[in-house]
Amino acid sequence: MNIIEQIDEEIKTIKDSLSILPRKTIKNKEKCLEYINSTIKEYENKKAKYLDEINRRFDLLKRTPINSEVDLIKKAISTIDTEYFFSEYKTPYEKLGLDKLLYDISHFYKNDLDKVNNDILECISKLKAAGIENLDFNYSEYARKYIQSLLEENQTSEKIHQIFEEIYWKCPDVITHIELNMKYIYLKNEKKIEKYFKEKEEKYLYQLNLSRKELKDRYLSFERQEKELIETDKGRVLERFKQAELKVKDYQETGLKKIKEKFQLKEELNQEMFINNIKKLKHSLEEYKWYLEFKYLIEDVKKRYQEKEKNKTIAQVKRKEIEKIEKELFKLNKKIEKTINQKYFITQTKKETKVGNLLLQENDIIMNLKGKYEEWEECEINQKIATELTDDSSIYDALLISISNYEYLVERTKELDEKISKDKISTQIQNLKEFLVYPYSTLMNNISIKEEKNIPMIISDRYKLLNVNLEQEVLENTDSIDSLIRDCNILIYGQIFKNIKLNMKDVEFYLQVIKDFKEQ
Amino acid sequence: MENQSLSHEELLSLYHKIEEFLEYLENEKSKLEPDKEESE
Repeated sequence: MNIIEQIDEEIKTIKDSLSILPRKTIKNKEKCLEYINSTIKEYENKKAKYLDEINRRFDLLKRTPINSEVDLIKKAISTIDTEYFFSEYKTPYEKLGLDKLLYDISHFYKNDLDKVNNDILECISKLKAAGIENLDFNYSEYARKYIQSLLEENQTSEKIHQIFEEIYWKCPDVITHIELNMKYIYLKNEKKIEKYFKEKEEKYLYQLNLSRKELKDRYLSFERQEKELIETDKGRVLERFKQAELKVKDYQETGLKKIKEKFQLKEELNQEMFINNIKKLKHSLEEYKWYLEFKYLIEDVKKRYQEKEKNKTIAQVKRKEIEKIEKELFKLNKKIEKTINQKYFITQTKKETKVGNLLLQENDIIMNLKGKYEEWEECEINQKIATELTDDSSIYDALLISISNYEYLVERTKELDEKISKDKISTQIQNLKEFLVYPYSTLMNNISIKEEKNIPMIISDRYKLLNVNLEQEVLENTDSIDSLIRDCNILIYGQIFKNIKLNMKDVEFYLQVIKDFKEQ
Repeated sequence: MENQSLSHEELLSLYHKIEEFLEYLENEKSKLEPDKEESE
């Protein structure tokens, strides 16, 4: 008889005795009560002893130390400015973040004036940080006036809304004037801003005594160390079970065996080698999943690269066109100023009519410039693809070009989903950044933009050679890739738990005690 | 000491069985006690 059967028997006997104890007279009842009280006392003692043992075991598990080395690595990672890894193909305009700020200004100005104002102030502050002190807001009188009001000390949101309202009825395009004026200021000072970033980057790398590549290698190595320490840290693993990120039922022997059979071609390798291959497979699957997510960008860059011959100087040509129209604009602005200041006019109405006509002409020129600047930005990305990439460039380079320009990235993403929200776009950009610093990358650095490779076949063949069974067809949809990654994780963790001597019975007990005793 | 040799499952099961049994006993006790008060 086991201990559970024993206690069941014990309880049954007591219950039987209690049921036959006479309870009719007071004396009988007192005797019965006495019996119950003594039994309660006896079992309260037993309960306390079991509870002590439960607490002792729980505390032992709870006190499983958390590896503090992870925090040191996290700290080291946080000191690295990861933006350097995404800026290889960025122009000074993009490094300054004007691509994003001005895109937001031009696309969201109808929704949120306070955000537009903050974005304008941020543009100004970034230009100033890059050493551009003389910010010439000379596109129009409206642009100059609005900026002047924005920069006034102790300016309030209420007052600025009122000023905007006044200007808006005279010139509904004032925000466009400011946006283009900002681009003009940038182009005028491009060399200076370029120098600023070059020196900043040199100084940063000099202080670290590393090249850009060495810095990235160091970062990736920290990332790998961090991931591996977290995966093998018993304390953190227990916490992940507690947070339901890991589930005990996944790590039962029968389930693990089934997954292993699914993956293993032949029972030849030892367990450690097999798990190492599964780890590699998981990394390939994760990378391939990222690849599928950003394939639209890779394809777009490849398409533009095919036209590289005609795009090599295209942005310079567009800049010259812009400069020519801007000269015309500034000439007209002088004429407007002169007319406003002219004292001798036949009537005030005639003067106002003349100024009004000149302002209309001014707005037409600015609207023409808007189109030209849009073309310039498109030419910039095409020229960048044409001049920075070669036939040997990898798909990693193609994605690095994609992330260099905010507008390019957003517009390509919108082509897939016209109604995509701003938050989802930010998530997509963040995901792309994660992909670009994925620490176990092998595919994207080794496939060139000129190659048309069957990646599912490459992955499938590679792992068959390593005695891992993986059919090409399962790599054709993301759901089955997710399921494969999940299976790989279960096998990998199953092995890790063995290595770190984490018993699933202990985990189950730990979770059960939390559920039964600690959550109330 | 003998409790230490129990498996986690046995330990928790024993605890819960006793807890349940104690509830049963308390219930039985309460059935007797009001009568006692009345008689007094």
